[in-house]
Amino acid sequence: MQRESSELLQGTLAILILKALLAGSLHGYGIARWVESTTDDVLRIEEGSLYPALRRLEDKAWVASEWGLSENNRRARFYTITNAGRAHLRNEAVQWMRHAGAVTQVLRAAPKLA
Amino acid sequence: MNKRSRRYLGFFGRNVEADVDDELRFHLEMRARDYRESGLASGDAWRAAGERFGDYSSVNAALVTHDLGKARRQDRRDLMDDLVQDVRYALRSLRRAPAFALVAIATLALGVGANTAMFSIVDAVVVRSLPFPRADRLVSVTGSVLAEATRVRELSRSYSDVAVYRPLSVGISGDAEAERIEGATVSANVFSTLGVSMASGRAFSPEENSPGRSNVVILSDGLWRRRFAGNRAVIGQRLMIEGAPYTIVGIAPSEFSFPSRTTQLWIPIIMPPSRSGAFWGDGGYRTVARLRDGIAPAAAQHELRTLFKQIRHENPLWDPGPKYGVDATVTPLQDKLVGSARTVLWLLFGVVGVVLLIACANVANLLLVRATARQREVAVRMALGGGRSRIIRQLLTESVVLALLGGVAGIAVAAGSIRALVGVLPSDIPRVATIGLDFRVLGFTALLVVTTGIVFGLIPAIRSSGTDMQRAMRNGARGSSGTNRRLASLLVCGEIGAASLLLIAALLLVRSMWALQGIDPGFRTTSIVTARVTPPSTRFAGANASAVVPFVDELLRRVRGIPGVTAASVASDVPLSNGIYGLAIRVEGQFENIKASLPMVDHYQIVTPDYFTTIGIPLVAGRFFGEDDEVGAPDVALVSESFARHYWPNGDAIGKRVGYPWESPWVTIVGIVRDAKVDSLTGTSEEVFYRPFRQSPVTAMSLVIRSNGDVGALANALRSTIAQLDRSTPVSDVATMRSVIDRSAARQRFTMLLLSLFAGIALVLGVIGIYGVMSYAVAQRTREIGVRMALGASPGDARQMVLREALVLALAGIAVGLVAAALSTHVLGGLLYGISATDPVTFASVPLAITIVSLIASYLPAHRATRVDPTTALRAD
Repeated sequence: MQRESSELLQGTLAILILKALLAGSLHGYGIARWVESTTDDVLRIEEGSLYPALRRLEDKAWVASEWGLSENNRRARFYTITNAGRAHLRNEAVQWMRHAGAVTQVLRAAPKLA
Repeated sequence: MNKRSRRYLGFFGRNVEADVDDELRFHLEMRARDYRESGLASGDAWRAAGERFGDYSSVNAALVTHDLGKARRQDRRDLMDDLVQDVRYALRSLRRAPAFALVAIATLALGVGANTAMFSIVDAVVVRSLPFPRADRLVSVTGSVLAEATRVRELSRSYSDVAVYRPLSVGISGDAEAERIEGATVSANVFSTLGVSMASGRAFSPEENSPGRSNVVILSDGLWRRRFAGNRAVIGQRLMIEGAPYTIVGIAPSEFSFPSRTTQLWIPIIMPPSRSGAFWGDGGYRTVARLRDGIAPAAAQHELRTLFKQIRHENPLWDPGPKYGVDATVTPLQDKLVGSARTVLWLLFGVVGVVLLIACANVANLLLVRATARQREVAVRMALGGGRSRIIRQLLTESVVLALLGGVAGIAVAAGSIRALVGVLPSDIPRVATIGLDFRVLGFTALLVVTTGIVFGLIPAIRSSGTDMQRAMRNGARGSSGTNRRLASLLVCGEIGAASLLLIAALLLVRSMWALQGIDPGFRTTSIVTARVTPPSTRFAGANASAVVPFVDELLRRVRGIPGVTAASVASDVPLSNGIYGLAIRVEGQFENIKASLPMVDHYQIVTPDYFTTIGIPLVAGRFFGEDDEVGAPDVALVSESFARHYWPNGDAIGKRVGYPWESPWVTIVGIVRDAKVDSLTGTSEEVFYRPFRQSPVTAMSLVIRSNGDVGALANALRSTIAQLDRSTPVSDVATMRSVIDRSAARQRFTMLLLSLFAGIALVLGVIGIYGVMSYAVAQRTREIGVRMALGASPGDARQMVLREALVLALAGIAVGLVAAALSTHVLGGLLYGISATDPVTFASVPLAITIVSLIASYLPAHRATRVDPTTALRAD
């Protein structure tokens, strides 16, 4: 049970990160902040897990990283979404919508009495 | 990150841990800053940020592990990418210089091919262990007489088993044609000692070594397939050996051949207890033993010598005198079987090694020449940021690629030449069947190729990558050409030196071969044909013994009737065929006591009266044997001049009496014949003791025939003549006297042929080397030559300048070669005959020849120098 929910979380996290990067390259903290502000803090990313997730995405070549300077002139690692990452996000989004739609439909259906 | 920027970072040293820490700490700091801005106190902000992040240290550790692995994989990939790129680049640049590539590859193919072929022989014959389980524990024990071996087995603590064997040659007959084959008589435990079990049937049982048992035989796989078509039902059937029926009890496994590769059957030694101890010397028996674990051959030998003292004290009859006692040795069986072939093969292997070094020097030379031509290219690459190690790596890749191409061609050369080499191998070299291109050999070649690629590539690579960039760019191709040429000259000197060394060795062997061929053996060698005729020994056994005399009379009568035969005789053995043995003798008035030590006569031959006239050994004094020197008539003998001189220096040998080393009537010397080389062309002893066939008949004999016809036709006629006389008598070894003599010098011939071949290759490579360096020197110095000519030098002067330089190179190389040859005389000394290892004619003619050849090789470059046009030369960059 624990494991399934964390897997779900991982998949979700990937989608959130890729979505965050669509607008442009961000450092890890930037991604965390974007998610917070976009979801009004409803989906709070477990920040420690953000970085391993970024490594996994980089290994799959969905994001690329490069060292650069942050807005306050600090050395920071910036992540950019790749073309493959965009394609993956598109697929995942479609899946997610369909899934969510189906669940929503089920929840909205009027209960039939036996 | 792309490769460029990673390199850039790598310049400061990549630090994965610091990077991970930077990234995570940046996150925490940013979060803490945001908390502070929203009103938290600094300490609280930090704590809150930490809590929000979670388990910092484990995340950090996971990221470091991940990033390190990734960096390692990336490094490997980069290396592979570089390699692929380098190989492509190498192939491209070789294609652009086809002449260079061709010469280099051909040179390497010769070097690698010769080495591969030679290694396959050395490996199969000398290096690889014998095909027996735990073969390293098997030893050969010498110095014991047959009966002693049994006592050694009982008393010794060194061996788990001791077995005895003796090679023998037997006639077999039966359903198929009678033939003579090699076999061995063995103690029953020889198979278990060697660790071999029968492919079918059984091995011998110990009782089968006792007299009075039925005759049994074990067949080799080869004999079984050849003569019995591989039919397993032969077990229990009969095979006629020497006219007696033997029951086939076993068939040996296919890879088993012992003691030699020609052994085709085994029969048990019959040890009559009554005669144990009566054997003189080792009786031709040899002992093989398996050492217990942890016992070294030296320790076993020490024990053996102590044991012999004890055994011979028990039974003084076994003591063959002090001369034999010291011979007690324990040596690894492999050394014993390979014997002296080892020295020759290692020598030749060393020689091909030298040939390979020459080939390497040659290719290194070519690469140096090329390196100079490519200086600008290398300089450009370095200017564009190629690191020195990167460029060395690229140049080395190029030479390894070259070596690989040469290696592939070399394997083809080896595959083609191994069979030819095996063809000229002397027949006494064992285990020839296993020689071939197998994985061990190919592994050796692969190692060789990569090593040579690095050896000949390293110096040029380091040289050219060390180019002073700016100077190279400024001066065009003239940057460090001077040092490169000096290095190339040095290499050519080495090549010429090595080639001289090999040529001297080869010429010494060739001259030694001539000397061998020029030896007068003391008998006629042309128009003489010999053949082994061996009636089954049982046929003339016991009461039938004297029947062999009429048999031989009839045999000779029929052989003389064959067209082309002008004379025929019979001898116990043919000279120079390794069959002639010595004998201890009594000499009347000098050595009479058979209990005391008796002198040896080295060669003992039994012959029919016509033998001397047939083979052409002239009479010096007295008379030849006659038909009436038979049993009942007085016992007579002939001796050689040396024999007569040895015991009767005053020249009065005729009429003196000698005797066998046992109680027997005296034999009177009736004639003296001229000395003849009987068992070795190079042997010094020519003391021969002859006895007439009629008085001392033997059942195994050789025909010695004078014939002016074709040998093949004669062989066929002999076979059919003898088959008509007796179907069970095999005829073997039909050969001209000339080929018998050649065979006795087979080892020298083989060494000479190979060494000459290798020396020839070395010379060709050396000449290519000197040609290459001189051409290059002329090309390099076009401007200098142009200046000289502009200042009034004639084309002849230019030519002389080049030739003088070549001469200096050649002479320096020759000096190196002469010194090396003088230092290595002891290696060759043992292989030479009739010529000193420092033979002045050889030591003078080889340098002369090399000088001439070197001048010829540099004539073309010199000629090119005369055609230099000063005006264009001075303008040339």
